Amino acid sequence: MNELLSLLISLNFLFTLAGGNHTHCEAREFLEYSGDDALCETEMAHLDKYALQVQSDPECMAYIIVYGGIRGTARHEVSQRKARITRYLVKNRGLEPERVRVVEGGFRRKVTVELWLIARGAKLPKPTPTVLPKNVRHKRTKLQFTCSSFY
Amino acid sequence: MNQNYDYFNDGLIKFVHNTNDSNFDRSYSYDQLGRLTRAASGGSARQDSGGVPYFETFAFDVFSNTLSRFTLTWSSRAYSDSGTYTNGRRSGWGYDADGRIKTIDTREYHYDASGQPEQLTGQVWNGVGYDATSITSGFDGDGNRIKEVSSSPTPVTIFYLRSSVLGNAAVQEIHNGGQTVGYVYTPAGQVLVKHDLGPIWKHITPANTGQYEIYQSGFVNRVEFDAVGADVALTPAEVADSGEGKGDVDSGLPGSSLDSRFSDLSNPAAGCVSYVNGIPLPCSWMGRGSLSWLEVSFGLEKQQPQASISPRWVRPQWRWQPQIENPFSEFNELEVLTTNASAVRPGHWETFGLTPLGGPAVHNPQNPLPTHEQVRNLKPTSEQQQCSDYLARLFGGNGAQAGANGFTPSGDYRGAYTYNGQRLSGHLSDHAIHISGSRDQTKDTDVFVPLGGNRTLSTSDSDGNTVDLFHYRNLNGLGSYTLAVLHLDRSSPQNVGGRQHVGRTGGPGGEGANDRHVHIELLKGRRTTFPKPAIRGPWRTNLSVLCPGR
Repeated sequence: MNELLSLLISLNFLFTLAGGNHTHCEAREFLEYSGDDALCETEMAHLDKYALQVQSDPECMAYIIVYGGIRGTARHEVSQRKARITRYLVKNRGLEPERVRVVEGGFRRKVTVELWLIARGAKLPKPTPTVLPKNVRHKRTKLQFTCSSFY
Repeated sequence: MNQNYDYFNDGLIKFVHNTNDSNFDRSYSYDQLGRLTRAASGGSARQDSGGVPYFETFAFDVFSNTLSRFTLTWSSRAYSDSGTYTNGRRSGWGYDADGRIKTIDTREYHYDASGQPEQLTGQVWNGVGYDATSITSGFDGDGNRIKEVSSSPTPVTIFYLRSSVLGNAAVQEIHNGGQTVGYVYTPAGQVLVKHDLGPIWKHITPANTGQYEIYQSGFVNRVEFDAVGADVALTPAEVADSGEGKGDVDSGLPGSSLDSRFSDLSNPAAGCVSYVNGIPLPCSWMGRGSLSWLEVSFGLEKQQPQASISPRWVRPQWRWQPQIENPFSEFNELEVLTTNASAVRPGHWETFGLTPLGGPAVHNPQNPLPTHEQVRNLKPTSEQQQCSDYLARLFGGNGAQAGANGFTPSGDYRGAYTYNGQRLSGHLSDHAIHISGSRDQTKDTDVFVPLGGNRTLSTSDSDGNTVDLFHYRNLNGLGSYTLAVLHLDRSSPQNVGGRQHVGRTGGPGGEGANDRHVHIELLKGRRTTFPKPAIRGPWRTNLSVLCPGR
């Protein structure tokens, strides 16, 4: 009886060990921010938390979806936001470039950024725009969206 | 030892009550720029007839050069000194081409090719006459003092053994006679225990009023200081005085004059010198509060490793490297506790979690970021909190909050806790603060800068953030610095209560409903542009140097 108990305990131990490699970031949204929260410094705070989370699990990838806004978004804005997010995560926060992917998601009411945690090889989430491109009015501006004073 | 403290509203120390020895009650007065103008003790501090160990006055010019000093000791001896200055140089003192002090009367300083104070020569009073003396130092390639030879009264050679883990702090002195002296440091980098034929615990009182050395036998050696760190006799005894010249080396003081560990009560012309590790401070910085944690302030500089370090197929990675910030570097007399980037050898990466007040707190090799748990557990010390509060009062209106600068109080920034005390990265830990009208950053506040600033830039960056630069020829006695204020909702400058009102928070880039703020940086030198962080990084200075006693 004791031998059977020992065997069961050993099997349970091995099962636990096997489960130890399980990553907890399969495909889940870590954070979403928009509007004022997408200003340079506020965004950096969000990205700081996000980078720590990604870095804490080597099986995790950073997958970011950037949406333009229906009004007041410059034509160059989304691409510059993508670039600055990548730059911040890789250059400032030290994430490996191959673990960071930033994509355009279309348009929503406000400029919006979704930060996802994705396990390597997992199915990528689809963007969920809420505004058709034909309804978007771009803003004419010379302003840049690179946050060059901060990162 | 038991002391209680009273403070002025701006955080400067007003009165120190010594409940064990009322002779060493102390009072302090300051001018509108927070510079010490009067320091009294005993009966003079309390305004009664009690004994007065010392009474001192100070006067400064607009650049915080010391124009005059007067010291009256309780042996009724009076000492005074006055000087005039041109371009920050005192008349009668010699300077080299790089602006370093070369001569003070009979004292001469010699610097090596890298600018290190290689030798001091002078004369020392032996009771009946003068002896020539010299102190010669040797430095390693990283600028750390590794050897010191003093010639008088007895030749002594000391070798310093330093710890790279402790930021090159000297951990052991090896004397030519075979004697070794070991040191143990507090997390703030202050000497806690000196091991010289047995441990000696050293305790500096929080307001720098005295030092207690506690020996293994129980013997306590107590030293009381005046407002500028000079040893005041514990009883109304005659202090050592020889009618010394301004540059004479005092025979009764510990340490070498190259890194004077004490000011000289009887020779005020010799300057004000911090007694802690020999970091010399301008007189205007003395007595402004607790100096016990003012050793150096560390920063982290992001540097790319040399190409030769990495194999060609390995992508060079940027690393954070510790770098010393010594606001008083113009004196070129920094003694210990230095950490510089070059100390990190190829293949030997270390990151340090540093207390903003100096000193390695967490040695964190091969780990570029702290964990969430580490960050959550970082709390500001009372000194850090006081400094944060002071910065809020310096730059903000009623109810203003100062955040970050490495020690944002826990809970700020709506859960963006990575700002809280984050030492290893993050833009606010790179020497910047946020001023906002409330802790949750939903309210605006008026924004002020110190008087005397000259606006050198008022523009917007490419993202539309407003950028305003204010240059000060001698900010708080620190020298030439430029304040950069971003996201300012500008208004016409007005002098209000000893500060210049320049606008309110919530300008472009800082207008988020839950993130209303201005972003402030302190940049060395006179700046007329505000380039990207990689360029201005070396200019940036920890704003806590503006705090009293820092």
